[in-house]
Parts: sequence; structure tokens; C-alpha cells
Amino acid sequence: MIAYAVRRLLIGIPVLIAASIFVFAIASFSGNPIDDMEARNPPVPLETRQLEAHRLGLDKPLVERYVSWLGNLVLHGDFGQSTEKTINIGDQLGDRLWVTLRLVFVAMLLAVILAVISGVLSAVKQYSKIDYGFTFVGFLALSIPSFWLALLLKEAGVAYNQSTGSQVFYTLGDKDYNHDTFDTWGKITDIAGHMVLPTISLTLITYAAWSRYQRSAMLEVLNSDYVRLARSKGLRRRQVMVRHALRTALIPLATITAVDIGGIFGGAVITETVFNWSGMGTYLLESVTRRDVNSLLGWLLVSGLVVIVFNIIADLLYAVLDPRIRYE
Amino acid sequence: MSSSLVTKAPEATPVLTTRQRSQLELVLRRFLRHRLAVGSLVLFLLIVLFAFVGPLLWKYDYAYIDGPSFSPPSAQYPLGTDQAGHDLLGQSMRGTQQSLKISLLVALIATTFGALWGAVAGFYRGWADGVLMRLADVVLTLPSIAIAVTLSVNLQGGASWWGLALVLSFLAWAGISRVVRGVVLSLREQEFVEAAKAMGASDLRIIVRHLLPNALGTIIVAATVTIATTILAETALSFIGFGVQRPDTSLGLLINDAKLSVQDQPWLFYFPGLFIILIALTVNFIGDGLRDAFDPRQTLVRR
Amino acid sequence: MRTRSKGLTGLIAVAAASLLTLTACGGGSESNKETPTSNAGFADCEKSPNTCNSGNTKPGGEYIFGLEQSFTSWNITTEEGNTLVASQALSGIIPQVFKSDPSGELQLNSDLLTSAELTNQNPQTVVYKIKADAVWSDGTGISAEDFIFMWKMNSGKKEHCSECTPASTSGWDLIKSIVGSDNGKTVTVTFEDGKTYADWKGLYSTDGLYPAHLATKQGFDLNKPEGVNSASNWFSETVPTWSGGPLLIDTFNKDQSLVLKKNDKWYGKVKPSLDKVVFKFIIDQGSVIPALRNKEITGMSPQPNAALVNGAAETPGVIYRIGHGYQWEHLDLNLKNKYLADVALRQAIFTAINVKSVIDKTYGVFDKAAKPLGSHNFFPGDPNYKDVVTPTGQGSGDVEKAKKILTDAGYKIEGGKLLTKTGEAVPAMRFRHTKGNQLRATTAELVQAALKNIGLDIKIEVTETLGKTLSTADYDMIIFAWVGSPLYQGSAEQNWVTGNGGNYGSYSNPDVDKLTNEGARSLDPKKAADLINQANEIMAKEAYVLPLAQKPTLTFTYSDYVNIRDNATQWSPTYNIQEWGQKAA
Repeated sequence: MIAYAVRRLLIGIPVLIAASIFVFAIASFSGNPIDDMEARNPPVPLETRQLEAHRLGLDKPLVERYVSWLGNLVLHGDFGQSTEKTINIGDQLGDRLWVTLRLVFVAMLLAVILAVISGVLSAVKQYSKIDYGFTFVGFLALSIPSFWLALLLKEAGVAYNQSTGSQVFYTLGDKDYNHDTFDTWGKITDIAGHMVLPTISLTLITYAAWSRYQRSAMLEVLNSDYVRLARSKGLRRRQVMVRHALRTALIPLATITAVDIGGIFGGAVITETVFNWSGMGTYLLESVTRRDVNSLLGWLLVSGLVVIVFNIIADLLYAVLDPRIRYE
Repeated sequence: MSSSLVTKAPEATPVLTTRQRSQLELVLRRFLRHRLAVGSLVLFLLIVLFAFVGPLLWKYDYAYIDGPSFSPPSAQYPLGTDQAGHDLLGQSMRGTQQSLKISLLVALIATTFGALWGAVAGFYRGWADGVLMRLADVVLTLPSIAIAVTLSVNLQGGASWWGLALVLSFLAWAGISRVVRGVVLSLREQEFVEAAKAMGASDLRIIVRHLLPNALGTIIVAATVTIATTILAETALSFIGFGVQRPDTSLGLLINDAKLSVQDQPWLFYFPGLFIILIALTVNFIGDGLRDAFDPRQTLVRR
Repeated sequence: MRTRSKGLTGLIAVAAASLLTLTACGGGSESNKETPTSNAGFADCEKSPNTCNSGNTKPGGEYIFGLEQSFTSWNITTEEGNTLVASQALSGIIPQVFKSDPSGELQLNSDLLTSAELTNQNPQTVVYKIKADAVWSDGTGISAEDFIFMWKMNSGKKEHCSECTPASTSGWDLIKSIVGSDNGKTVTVTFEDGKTYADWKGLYSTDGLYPAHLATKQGFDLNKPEGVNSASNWFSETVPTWSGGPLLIDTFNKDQSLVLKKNDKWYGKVKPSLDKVVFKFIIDQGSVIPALRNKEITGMSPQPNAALVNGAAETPGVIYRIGHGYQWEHLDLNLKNKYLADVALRQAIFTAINVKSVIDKTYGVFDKAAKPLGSHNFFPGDPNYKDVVTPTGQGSGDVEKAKKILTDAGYKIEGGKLLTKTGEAVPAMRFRHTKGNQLRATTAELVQAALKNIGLDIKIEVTETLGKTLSTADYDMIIFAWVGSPLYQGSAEQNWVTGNGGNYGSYSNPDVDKLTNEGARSLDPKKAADLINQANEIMAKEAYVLPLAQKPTLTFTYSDYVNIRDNATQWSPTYNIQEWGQKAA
């Protein structure tokens, strides 16, 4: 199983390299970070612009730039220079990945739970009021623009705080500025308070599609011969559902969850922007606006790696859930 | 949408006419039973009319800028005006039109391309499959929003609706190709493919005439869902500043420009939002209806 | 399971309910159409900008001030570090020689210096006298060494610093020597012979002083170019543990907030009363008002728009003021375009545009005091301000007059198309503006509509990189803003003289060049302003740049804090950060 995971990771490397070449090319063509200095007031001296261009390697041919970037990364673990001299891309990515993963992970977990519950109930009570209710809510969540929802949640949170005079929800950032001075319990509630609204908004836009998958997977299993057989053998309904049907029906969900991780990272861009989190999403936007090619590449590698790792986890989960599958 | 489906398929495969027609009739009948989907289809067509015929009838077009600033909905401006004095109704018609054009074009390009890609991969299997699918993986690995952002910064046309449509198509095809490949993998083992091969049909003919029409259900559903996701993707891109640019407009642009107006000029925020939700919701329901209609197993389940 | 779904619908219900109340709120404000430029607590700012909202403070409290961006570099002399937010956040830490008060007067920082005077015209010589008790937070006195170090980081000369990347070298590159005397407490700055730098008050004022002795302590040799470079980098990368001002950095949460506490070694007259001043970075404009209502910030001075002004006005307990700053929006023509090279067409274009109505749809929506700007160098309220635009008829929106200018010059308008003397149709003009700027997009559409009246088509195109668009003159018409300052002489020379860096549209007039150059170098402010106004008059007639309006500024704060007030200069409301405090009962 470990050998399998390693092999998958190795296959991921050429994919990542291809992706990085692609992003490097379009990002390099999309403009030069030095250009923006020319409209500053007072004007940035020519020498300064030249020094910056040199530091960023902009005076070298495109291919050489890419090769030396890749070389430094592989040999020294160096992500290269950011357009902002003081930014260490590696450190930034580390900090921000943690922030985003925390959000994404909790949101995914909640979304899976929500999807399984609503999907299974929908399937078991197909064409009942419950089914229609869940279906409608699911489709609605699937059809709402994510930032629209996030803005509404934010307004609701502020309105709740104002009406109760309490400070339950936070709209700004992922923790309080005095966070480090809090005791453990204070730290936990602080983090939680800041997480509630972003997590809800990310969960809602994520769970809907999964609950549809879960519903159809469950329907398929319920109509499969072996479940019918189990039922006809007189096994208890509950037992059949949990032991056999649910377990099998979780398999497609596990795959789709992992495959969707890229999409959730995308959704996090919006959520982080609305709630002013400094995570991977806002890092991406900052890099793009700064025309910071190396930051962009670093972002791509880290997010790409996360996607690949999640895919492998999904495959392994497959094996756990489905006894027929074993990886060599 | 359903009408084109009925007329196109029988011509495509004359050999299978009777079989196809009866199957399509069945599909249509099943679809019509899905009341929510049919209702959605009607509503969706009304929105299409609103977007494409509305501007011909309504007195203010999207370029009109002489209204008062921030007028709430009134008889003269049924949906109110924005700060510049644009009539929101005229803007919404144009915005809906542009957003629909973008998503329909994306559905067309991405589905055609993705379906062919997936069909070729699934038909040939082996190394061709490996190469094609790894390439699709590259696109799937790239978190789509990053590429959309970088691409639309790059393209001068990124600010125009078709430029945006190209960018979004580039992101949508890979997912579709995967789904189609899966279907084709199972179809290629069936007798009618064997038969066609035996009759000496070329590979291209088998793919285009036999495999793709039989995967039509999957493809149509994928196209439908693509419309809904594109509408939302366009909105998300606008939110982070990389969508259609004024003086043209789109629903994403309208709702993005109104993001600061939630409290003071709620009409600017809620009306375009409502249009987006309506389009995405109706399209999703239509897709659901089509899925049920194409996939008889679901209907068999009914107890 | 049931309960969970109920919880969810419950939340949605809360959302729906809050929307209703908010809508009601918004509806209420509609009846109150007249938006004044300020409300109760800031009402006297119009008359007495320097003392409004002043009061006695009581000790304690935390003030949370929002900033629109985060920053990464702590060295504000560098190209990277030279941002408005960084200088705001560090204004309680980096000592500055002059600061502008809200009325736009440069005031000597009398905590730091007893005097800073121009003692000789040629060679230009400036003498700074540092107070004996002015010290860095480790007790070391602020001295001439610090002045010399700043010069070396900024001069752009290789013999001073090997690889420094200063944001601007203007003034610094003209300094010949800096000599410390009187135990380092007197600093004599001498400029090159025959060179003058009229905006000398900006030196050590727009940026400030960094502690040279700490760099030495780190082992950097400030007499060597490499040493200065290392020191400059060290100051860029290291979160300051030092301070020469009233506050000291407590904690820095990257990209989120900067927390400041009192500097015990602060030598100034007014000691801070607040326990903490917190700067929070709010990049998304839509987050500002919710954060204010939620008390996650207590004040801010963001780029204003209608929603921010309304939001501040409607939040209970918050006072706000709209001021008028030193940034001004303007419409530029590219004289390299062969059609625009003709002065008659330029005059007609500017005449057909109604600046007043552009303002009404942009800044005027939230700033009732916004009005057309009539000068390219000065702002209303400044004694040197002279309206040179209105007399030309430009910006009036007088279509008939514009048409007359054109027909007099031999143009024809046929079938809604503008034709030149030779009967050739004038092609569509490319109007560029920065992407994502709604107000500029609106201006572009309004100009488009206005110029249709004289048969000229406008093609609106956004730009991603304003810098490149400007420097390559990749436009026919463009709207952007200049950041002015009470120090005006340098920018006049930069922007209007033939071939200079800010003159993107290639304007050239020998008389303007002569007058402006002379004005820029004069050390007599009155004479300088006069010369620059003369040049401006000539330039305005030739319709190169149409000033639109001064950009408004906005400052709001919860009213239980005093001494926070709008300051439209680059020194911003943080100019008196040590005076901020909780209102004494």
C-alpha cells in the first residue's frame, strides 16, 4: 500500500512539472512586475528598477529562468525570489497552507457529514417530502454564487452580534490580534469564533454536489441484488443499511471528495477574500496582482501537491471501504 | 434543447433509426414526467427570452447612463439604478444575455472537445489513453481558479465575453473528458461496436457515429451542468476582479459592483443575484430531469 | 440529524431576518438625501481642521485602526517598503523632521528638533538641531549618524550603497555632504554647488530616520557600500524592536495585524494614553463596514466610496468626515496621436466634457463638497491656488462651443461623424482606465457619451498595468491620479516639462519648460508658485490634461476616542498618533 502511494506520488511529479511550465509561461507573458513601478509618484529611479529586474532574473531568457528556478527548487528547496524582496516564499506558503487547510479540512468534514446524511435519507425515503426538501436545499446551495452567500452570512453574523450585544461571530481574519496572550481555552474559542462563518459558507457550497452523488450511489446500492438478497434473508433493515448499503455507497463519495479538493481550494479563494483570511487563496490573488511568477509557481506546487495527496488518500480509502480492492 | 435532441440524433445514425427514436421518445416522456425539470425548462426559456428579446423591447439599453444615481426601483426604473445612473433592468437583460452566451459557448466548446478527447482515449485505450488522460490530469490538477485568473490577466480578450468563455472552456473540458471516457470504455465492448468494426467502419466513424451518440445522455447532462457551473464561475471570477469589464456587463460584474451596496442599495445586490440563482437552479433541475430520463435505473427504483 | 438540519434552516432564517432589518435601515437613510461631509463629532473640522475632535484623554484602552493593505518590508526608503500603509503603521516609531497637519501646513517635529533651517542659498545648506533628550528606545541619542545613514540608503549612488533600491532619489542625489557637530546633535546638510532642491522639507519627513547605531551593532560597516546595503536589507526584513517615536512594536501577526504599545523612552511632550494601538489589515473593501459595526475596528481612513460613507454614517456611535486630499484625478491626451496633436481638437474634446456632471455621478454621490478642480498644481484652499481651467471653457460640457472650435479650425461633423479638414474621418480614440476602478469606468462611459456629441467615437479599454500603459504611452486618452503633496515644486517639473518622467503624453512648450524649471528650483516659495501658475496658464489653454477633481478622503472613528481626525496629506490621521486616546468622562 505504501509502495502504491509512493508510486502515485512519483507519477504526480511530471504532472506538476508540466503544470508549472504552463503556469510559468502564461504568467511570464502576462506582464512584468517592474512595469508597475513606472507609474509611481514620485517615479522610481531607473537604477532601482534595473536592480530589481536583475534580482528577479528578468534580464535572463525565459527558458534559463525556468530551468534555474526548477534547479534551485530541487537542489536547495528554494522557491526563488518574490517581487517583494522581504517575502520568503517557502515560509509564506507554510504559514498560509496551514490556515487554508484548517478551513478546508473542517469544511470538507462537515460537508461530508452533511452530504452523507442528506444523501442517504433522500435515497432511503426517495420521493418523500424529506427527499424533495433535501433535494431542493441541495440544488439551491449548488446554485448560489459563493461570495453572495458569504456576504449574506457575514451580514447575518454582524446583525446577530449587534442584536445580542455579544461577540460570537467574527468577520475579519482567522484569529484575534491578542491571540498569543490567551490561555488554551481562549485560543480554542478564538479560533472557533473566527472560523464559524467562513466554514459555514464553504461547507454549504461544497456539500450540495456531494449529497447528490451520495443519493444516487445509495439508490444504486439499495437496488443491487445483494442488498435485496440480504433483506429477503430477513436481516434487519437498519443492519442492512449500515453494514452493507452505506459502506458500499460511501466509496464513490470518497473519490469525488478527493477529486473536488482543487475546487474547494478555489472556493476558499472567495471565502478567504470575503473574511479577510490570509491563506492560500488570498496568497494566489496577491501573487497574481503583483505579477509575482515565483510566488505563483510556489502556490501551484503546494496546491497541486495537496490535490495529489488527497487523490492518493481517496484511493487508499477505497481499499479500506471496498474489501475487493487491494493495492500492490 | 430537447427539440434539437430529437431531430439530431436519428439523422446521425440512420441504421439505428427505429431504436434511437423509440429510445428518445422514452427519454422525452420520462423527462416530461419530471415536473420540476419541465417547470425549470419553461422558466429557463423565459429567462432566455428576457435576455435576448428583452433589450429589443425595453426603453433603456445597457449603455444608458443618464438616470439618477441610486434610484430605488420605481415605475420608470423597475429594478432601480446604480451609482452611474445605469438602468438596472436594461443592464440585467444585457448581463443575463452575456452570462448566458458565455455559459452556452463554454458548454458547447468544452463538451464537444471533452467528449471527443474522452471518446478517443476510451476507444483506443493503452498508451493513447494514458497520454490523453495524463494531460487531462494536468488541467484537473491545476486549481481552476488560478488558471482562470492568470489566463484572463494575460488575454487582452479576457475582458470580452468570448475571451472569458475560452478561458472557462479550457478549464471545463477535462472533467467532461473523464466522464465520457468512462462511458465509452464500457460501450466499446458492446455488440454494435463489434458489428460496426466487422462491417469495416473506420475508427473515426465508429467514434462519431456509434460511440458518441450512445453516450449522448451522459454528454448532454454534462453540458447542462457545465452551464450552471460556468454561470457561477463567471460570478466568482468577477468577484476577484477578473471577469467581463465595463462598459460591457454580465451578471457577475453587476453583482460584484454591488457588493458594497448590500445595505444601502439592496436592489443592486439582490436582483442580479436572483437572476444568477434562477439560471443556475433551473439549469440544474433540467440536468437532473435529463439524468433521470437518460438513466432508466433511477426510475425503476420507484416503489 | 434532524436537529442539525433545523440548525441550518435556523441560520438561514437569521440571515433572512437580518437582511430585512438591513433593508429597512437602508430605506430609512434614503429619505435623508443630504449627506453632509461630516457628522456631529467632526462637524467643526471644516473650520478648524487641526483641533476638531480634540479632548482630554483618560489612560488605558486599545484603538484598532484599519489599513487597506498589509506590508512586508519595514524599510520605507526602499521601492518595496515605500507604501502608504507602511508609513502609517510606522508613524509612531520612525521619527520625522516635518509632518503636515490636517490643514496642509508642514510643522517642525518639535519633540525631535529645536530647528531645521535653510541657512544658505548657494550652496544650499540646511542645518538641523536635534534635541538633547531625543533618544532611540535603547537610550542611544538620535544623531547625525542617523541622518547620514538615511542619505546613503536614498542617494542612489554606488559609493554609498552597493545595491540599495530606493523608491526615490530626488533631493538625496543632490546632497554633497552631511556633517555632524556638537556631539552629533547638530546636522549640516550641504547640497552640490549651483544645485537647489526646493522641496528640502520633504527630506527626513516623507520617510524619517532609522537607527544607524543598531546597524553598526549588527556588524555592518556603514562606511562601506556593502555595509549600507546589508543594513538596508536588515531593516527591511527585521520587525523593528526599536523605536524613535511614542510607540513600540508589541506583536506582529503577518498579513493580519500590527500591535503597538507605549515606548517607555519616548521623549516627547505628549505621552500616549492608550495601552495599545492596533493596525488591522483589511484588504477587501466590503469587509470594512461589517468590521466597524462589529467593533473589530474602531477607526479607519480608507479610500472613500458611497457605501463606506453611508456605512460609517449609519453605524451608531461612529463619527466621520470627508476631507479633500492631495490626490487628483485627471484626463490626459496623448499628443503623439496625430489627430490629438492638433490643439483645436484637444480643446474641443475638453470643452465637450462636462466635468461637473462627471463629478455628480462619481465623487459627488457621497461628497457634496466635490467640485471641478481648476489647477494642475494646487488645490482649493491653498493661497497659491489659481483656477486656470474654467476661463478656457474646458470642462464646461458646452457642446455648441466645442463644435464652433472645430468648425473654426476647418473640421466638419457629418452624419454624426467628425471629419478633419481634409475630409478624413477621425478614428475612434482608445480611452484607458485601470481595471476594477468603478468610478473611472463611469467617467469613461460619461466621456464616451459626451464626445458622441461632437462626432468622436471612444473605445473604452481597461489596463492591468497602469505603469506600462503610461510609460509606453499606450493610449489616446487616459484617466489616472497624481498624488500631490504640500511639496509641489518637484512634481510640477516632473510632470509638465518636455521629456520628463511624468510627462507621458509628450507635451512640449518651451515657455512652459522655462517657467516650470525656474519655479521648481526657486527656494522662494512665493516666487516659485507664481512661476508655476504662469506656466500652468499656458498649458491649460493648450488642452493637454483636464483636471477632474480632488479625490476625497474619509476618516471615521467611534466617538469615544478623541484626537483622531482626518489628515488628507500623506502623513494621514496617524500624524498625531501619540495624542489618540479614550475620551475622558
